[in-house]
Amino acid sequence: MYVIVVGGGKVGYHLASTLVAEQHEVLVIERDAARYEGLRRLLGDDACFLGDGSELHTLEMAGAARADALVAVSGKDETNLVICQIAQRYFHVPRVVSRVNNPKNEEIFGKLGITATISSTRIIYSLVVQEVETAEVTPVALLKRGNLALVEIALEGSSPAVGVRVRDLDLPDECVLVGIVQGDDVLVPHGNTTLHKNDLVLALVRRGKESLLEQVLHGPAQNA
Amino acid sequence: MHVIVVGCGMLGSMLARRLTDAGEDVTVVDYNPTAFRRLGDDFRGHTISGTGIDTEVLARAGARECSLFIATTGSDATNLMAAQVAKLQFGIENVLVRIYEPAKAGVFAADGFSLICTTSLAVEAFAEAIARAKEDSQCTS
Repeated sequence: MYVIVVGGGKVGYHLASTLVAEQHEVLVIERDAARYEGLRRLLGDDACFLGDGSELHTLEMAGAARADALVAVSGKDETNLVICQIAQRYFHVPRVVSRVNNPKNEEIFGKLGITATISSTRIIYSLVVQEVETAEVTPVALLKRGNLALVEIALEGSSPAVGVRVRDLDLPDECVLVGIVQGDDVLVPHGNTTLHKNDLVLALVRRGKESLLEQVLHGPAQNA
Repeated sequence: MHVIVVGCGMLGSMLARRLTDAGEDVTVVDYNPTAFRRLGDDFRGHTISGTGIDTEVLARAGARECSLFIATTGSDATNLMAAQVAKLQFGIENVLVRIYEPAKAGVFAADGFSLICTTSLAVEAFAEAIARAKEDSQCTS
């Protein structure tokens, strides 16, 4: 896969090195000469391009027309938006992803046709708020722009779920158990799987339903 | 008529002055408040410091009552996003956008705003001046 990353800051650099490690062809476009030099030393000549990624001319030279994906991760939302729009409309890049620095721009990006957005501010905020709301349920990842969460819950001996089969659990709607860590084993749970003390349960759950899941696996909330 | 001018550089400030002189009600938006000095002490319009891509800033600038929106900053991206927000969030009918890169005109041609490429205009003006200079030198030689 050929991926163009526009913006060679921390996010751009780490994203590019991850993609390179996974054997993808990557080109990072950076307009600041000093930052470009730094990237070149770390990623090599072939993976870096000095230029303004918001210019059609730059994207053309970078081979946007044959790119499978373009990711805009500059620190400016307006730059990311316009780059993605040019990539989509002019170069017909099949997959376009934008970083959104100000979370309130996410909605506007969506309305303007850039639906794949990532707002680190929002993700961190969600994690912090969630951590405070339900301390027993640890979020592992937020999916689909924060609407679904992958969470892990450790079963204590006092849990009402210990000794119970998965099919007999009264799980909330929009929640599935996707993995159970028992010692060194990871099981894919099915209806007959019985939960044990000290199991680590991985569940995919709709945001906002975490506390219902917690009740099932930990018992009714006790005010400590 | 209420007019919003985003960007108070040379272009934005001169347009804003000309519009207020013609009796229009003008609000100029720029993130850098010192840029408003270009408008002069006797400027009769309003100024708001903030970024022109922000819905709240534009609302404070009177975007709901605005019938002409002009994006003049030195960044094509800022102008293009401001123009799209003006159309999308406030339904402003007449939106004028300054761009530097001519090729962007084609990409955003269908968005319902007028794109004015100041680079192309300057190139034309220079080309005409060059042609005149050539004619003059041919006459004298």
